[in-house]
Amino acid sequence: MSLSSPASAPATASPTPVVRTVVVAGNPNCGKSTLFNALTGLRQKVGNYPGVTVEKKTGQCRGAHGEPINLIDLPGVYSLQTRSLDEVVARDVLLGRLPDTPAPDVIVCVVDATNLERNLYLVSQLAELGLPMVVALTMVDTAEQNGLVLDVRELAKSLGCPVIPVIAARRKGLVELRFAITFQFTGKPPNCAPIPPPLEQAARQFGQLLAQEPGLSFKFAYAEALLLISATTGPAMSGLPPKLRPALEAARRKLEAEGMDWVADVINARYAWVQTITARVARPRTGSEAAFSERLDAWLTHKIWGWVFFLLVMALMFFTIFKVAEVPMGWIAAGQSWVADWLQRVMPAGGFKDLVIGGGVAGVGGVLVFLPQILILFFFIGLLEDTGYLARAAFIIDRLMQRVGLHGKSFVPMLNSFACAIPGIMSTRTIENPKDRLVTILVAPLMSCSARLPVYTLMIAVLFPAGFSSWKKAGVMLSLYLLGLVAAFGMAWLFRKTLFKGEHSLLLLEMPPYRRPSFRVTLARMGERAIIFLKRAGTVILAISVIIWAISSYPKPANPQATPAEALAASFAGKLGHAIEPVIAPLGYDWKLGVGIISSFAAREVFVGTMSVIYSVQDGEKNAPALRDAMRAEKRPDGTPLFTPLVCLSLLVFYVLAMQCLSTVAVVRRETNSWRWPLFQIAYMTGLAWVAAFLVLHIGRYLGYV
Amino acid sequence: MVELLAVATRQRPAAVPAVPAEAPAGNQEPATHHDHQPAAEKLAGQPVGRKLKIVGFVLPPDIYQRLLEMGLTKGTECTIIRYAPMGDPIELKVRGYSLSLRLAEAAGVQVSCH
Repeated sequence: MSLSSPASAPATASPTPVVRTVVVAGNPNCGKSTLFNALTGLRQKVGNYPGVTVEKKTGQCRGAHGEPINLIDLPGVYSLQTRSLDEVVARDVLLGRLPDTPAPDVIVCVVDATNLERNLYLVSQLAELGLPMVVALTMVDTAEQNGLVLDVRELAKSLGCPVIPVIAARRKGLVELRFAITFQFTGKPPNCAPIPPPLEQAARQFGQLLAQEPGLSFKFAYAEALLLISATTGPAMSGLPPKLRPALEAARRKLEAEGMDWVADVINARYAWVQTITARVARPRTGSEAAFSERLDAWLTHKIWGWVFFLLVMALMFFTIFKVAEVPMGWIAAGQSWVADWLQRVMPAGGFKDLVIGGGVAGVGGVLVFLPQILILFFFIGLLEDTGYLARAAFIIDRLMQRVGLHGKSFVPMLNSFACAIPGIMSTRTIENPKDRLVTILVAPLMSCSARLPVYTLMIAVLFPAGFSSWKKAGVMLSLYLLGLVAAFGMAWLFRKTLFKGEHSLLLLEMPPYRRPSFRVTLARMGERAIIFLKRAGTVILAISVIIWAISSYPKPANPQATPAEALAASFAGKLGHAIEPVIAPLGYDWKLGVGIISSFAAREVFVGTMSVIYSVQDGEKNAPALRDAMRAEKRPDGTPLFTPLVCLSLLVFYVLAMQCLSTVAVVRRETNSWRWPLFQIAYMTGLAWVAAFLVLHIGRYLGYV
Repeated sequence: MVELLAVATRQRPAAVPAVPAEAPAGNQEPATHHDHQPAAEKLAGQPVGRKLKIVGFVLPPDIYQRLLEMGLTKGTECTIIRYAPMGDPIELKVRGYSLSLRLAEAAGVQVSCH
């Protein structure tokens, strides 16, 4: 006995530690990410929710007693009444519907004190879930500067939950917040907005039906019923078991008969409740921050200066992406060849060595070399986002985008796609309307990404050898970028007129006040996004470069003394090049260019490498003049030069428009959750590229050019 | 708690209980929700800076609902801050924050001036 009691005592004192789950929710632009980062520090993970590409950010912090707490950062949402992918995920996490994400024990709702009413609307909706809640009040300092006097104790009393003012950047209020979270593990649910009795009754009744369904949590049945009764969109109805549809419609008809408006009355009731609270706890503001933002906006959204500033920002960004990134890109390329050389020396000769060097090192290098540009891009986008300028850019450009059937929010994805279509397509998730999003995804890869740059550079060098003014080269380069832009807008317009006719698209854009960005937060987010890019694109590109390496190296030529060019001609890739020659002959290309196109089907920049193998130029990327001269010397069987200016232009146009990027295909497949759209995209882009290249060659010839 | 609820119920603004006579019938049919006020005008086209009050909507339910959730409930005051350089969208001040929406939606928001 005496032996067993000390052994059992610790077990009873500290039972198997259950790690509690706390969800951090809040509106977009409310300072949620900053708070999440301050709470978790470096102990966070970024991944994906299964099946969708919505970022799942989780982290750990410690509660009042040092106990570990799992924190989940929800995407910023205005409401649980879902429309976009982000909102569906937020709702499903809160309702405990996702298989690998436990239902929350406590909700931390981040509330922007300078925008109390709309932020408290989300609080009123979260309160209906019946989970204990802590409100973290951000931007209190700004609110105070604006002359807003907030009665935090009264707010806590009205909401029925702790309200903790925090200034995350200065780590103020974090200890209190963690204490409040621990306190709330055994706490009560907060107060709710009084819902009109007929609606509440309808929700209770329908909730009882919902609770009988397997897989739906009994706990949240009422909140879920309330959401479903007032649901007006497909995504919002996604939680409804099909057999309960008649019951839902009956409930709605009954409400209509009672004179209730099921679309609006719940929302009106919540806002009415919020207004009574804000009337009690806050004095209306006479904002200095707001006045500053307004003064700035008078310039930045001005009819003329707005455009000037917009173009300046874009120019600065592109200059940085293309010029400043060159330096680290050089280092990476140098590092890659150093590793390849080193492996060349230390590894025993054979197929495995070729695989590691030709497939592995080349593949990894191919991904890494774009990382500097992508990091810079993410840094700029993050900066623009945090200062609040991105919303203004969308505001300025929306009318133009609308004309071709795109959206103000399509602007960021299109912008991203200039560096790389993958982050571009990933950033379409903020577009609420699925059709708007799909059109944006379909045309985003037409923007000239940085992987096209090596091809452009090479072909422009072949087109204009030394001695031509660099203005001419720059002019061609600019035209190529413009061609991609025009094609993207044109195709978007066409898709809107044909495939996605008559869809109403909605722009509701919050214009947050201008704020000073935090470099730490921006850098942290840049890192996160870069890791996601590496994971998503890196694995695919690596796999593909191994495959491309294999088809260009096997079967081995019969003659072991064959030159690399002869070996390539004998390989599968060479045979494929011959096979597609009839298709590309009308464009003026021979089988060697066919090999180039095939090998760069996975990634455009591979074209340059293939050309240097075919024309037996060592290190074609670095030794551009040699490759250029070899290509210029190339003759057709009849003795005329192959790379006439028209053929060069036709090839350039082909590379502007063709979907030569399998990583993009993989990302589109994930984002649209089907093979239909990526395959359609390959088909329409390749078709477009072929037709345009054909027209360039033949119209040019008709006009008397060669 | 009970006391608090009572206060909340008493203080609900007058515009909210004004229940529309015709409730929304289906998902995509435009629903009209009028208050019986004579001076209902479209939000789109109102001059910058004029004080406006939202009185109703002529919009499909899902869009109308989204506007409500962003705080444009009936009886709420708002002001157009500016039109975008190309005339569309507009920036609106409502409930102490700035929201921009397109003329297409703003044409379906009915306001009265005061």
